[in-house]
Amino acid sequence: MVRPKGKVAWYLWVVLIVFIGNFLLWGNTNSVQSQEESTCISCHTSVKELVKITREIAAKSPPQKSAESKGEG
Amino acid sequence: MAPLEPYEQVLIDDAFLEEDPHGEIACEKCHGGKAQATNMKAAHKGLVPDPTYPDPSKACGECHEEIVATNKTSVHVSLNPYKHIIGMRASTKKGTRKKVFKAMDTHCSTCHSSCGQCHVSRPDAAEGGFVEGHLFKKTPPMDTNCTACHGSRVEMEYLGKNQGIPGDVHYTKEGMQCIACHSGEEMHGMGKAYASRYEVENAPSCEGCHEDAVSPTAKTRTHRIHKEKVSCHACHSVAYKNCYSCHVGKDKKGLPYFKTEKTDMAFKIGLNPHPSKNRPYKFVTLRHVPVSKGLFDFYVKDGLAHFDALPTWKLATPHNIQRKTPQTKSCKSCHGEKKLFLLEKDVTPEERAANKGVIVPDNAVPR
Repeated sequence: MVRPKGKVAWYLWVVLIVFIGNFLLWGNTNSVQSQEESTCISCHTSVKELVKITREIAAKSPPQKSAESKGEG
Repeated sequence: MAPLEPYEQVLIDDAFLEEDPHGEIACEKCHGGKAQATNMKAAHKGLVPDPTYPDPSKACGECHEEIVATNKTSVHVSLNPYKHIIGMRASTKKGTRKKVFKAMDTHCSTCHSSCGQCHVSRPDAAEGGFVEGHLFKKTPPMDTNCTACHGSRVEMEYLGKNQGIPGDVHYTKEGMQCIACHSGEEMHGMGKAYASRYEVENAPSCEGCHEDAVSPTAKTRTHRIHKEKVSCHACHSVAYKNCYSCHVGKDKKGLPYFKTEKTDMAFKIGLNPHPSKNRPYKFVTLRHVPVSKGLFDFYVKDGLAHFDALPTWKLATPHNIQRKTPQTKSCKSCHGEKKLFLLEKDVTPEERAANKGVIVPDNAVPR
């Protein structure tokens, strides 16, 4: 078997390290990336967006608690 | 506890995404929904706001297997004592009993907790909302989580919010939070379905810290004399809240409501309804709880046909402990002091049968 030497060997090592590194980090990167692309995150980290939406919802929603409750429970 | 603005309830803090290990998990893995949708309605389709209730195994179990394994038996989740109490009092007629339990689900079962409602959000019963931008709190904060539900009695007593009555010495002198006595292990359940919270084996006890106070060689003579006869609370707590009657129903809009008649501040020593290894005492403090024969009349008549099966003056452990109280002044402060004891005249005629086991007969008041 011919063993690569010199610059060729050096390049092969770099390729191998980059490949393994990418493989190990893939899960984490994928998760972070998916969070960044997620509509959930873009909306739920925006105060402006949430204020607008929660006001719209409150205007449409009927009260959730009865006004007839009385006393301490 | 200040209420949250609606937007604050669902606002995720950047720190959750950057610092909390849970922030690395994709939202939809726990909450479902459609993360790639472009509008709110579509994104929220199939969304589970609290993925930890009723079954936390999928959301939490992968990493916190041991805690999740016993979660169902936590009284905060199972509400087993409620079920037991209502079950004891409920009619044995099948149809009536079913209606009672349905009413209980509508009214009583909404007060529960979950992994998420302690470690991420305020409890639903306290209107929910993130405690701190979806960051996971290893120790739930006392004000937003514990006393958010246990407010009317425990918070008022412990923090000294009842007018003219001091707060608990563990708080006023030492600043102890709930978790100092009530451990995570107690909250997470032990795998047993308890009929009463007083049966929980790893619940706190005074002796757990004050070991010397009840030893045979205790320095305080009154401790040596009374140790298995009188509960610690009978001497070291002061007036606490009692609630009377309760009726539940639904208003014209179909929303459930409850109505209690009155509350008062009182201190009553009665007979121990459940002497046990941990609580062998003859005399304990009793609290009137919000219940009445007609509790579920809106749904079914005579639903609590066996109302007298349990006392309405219930074993209590008031959270307003003091080193010195009116009872600790002298022997005569309790001995012969009938007003401290729950006598027949203190109980309404319609509740006397239910309380016959805890009422102190006139001739049994210590002389």
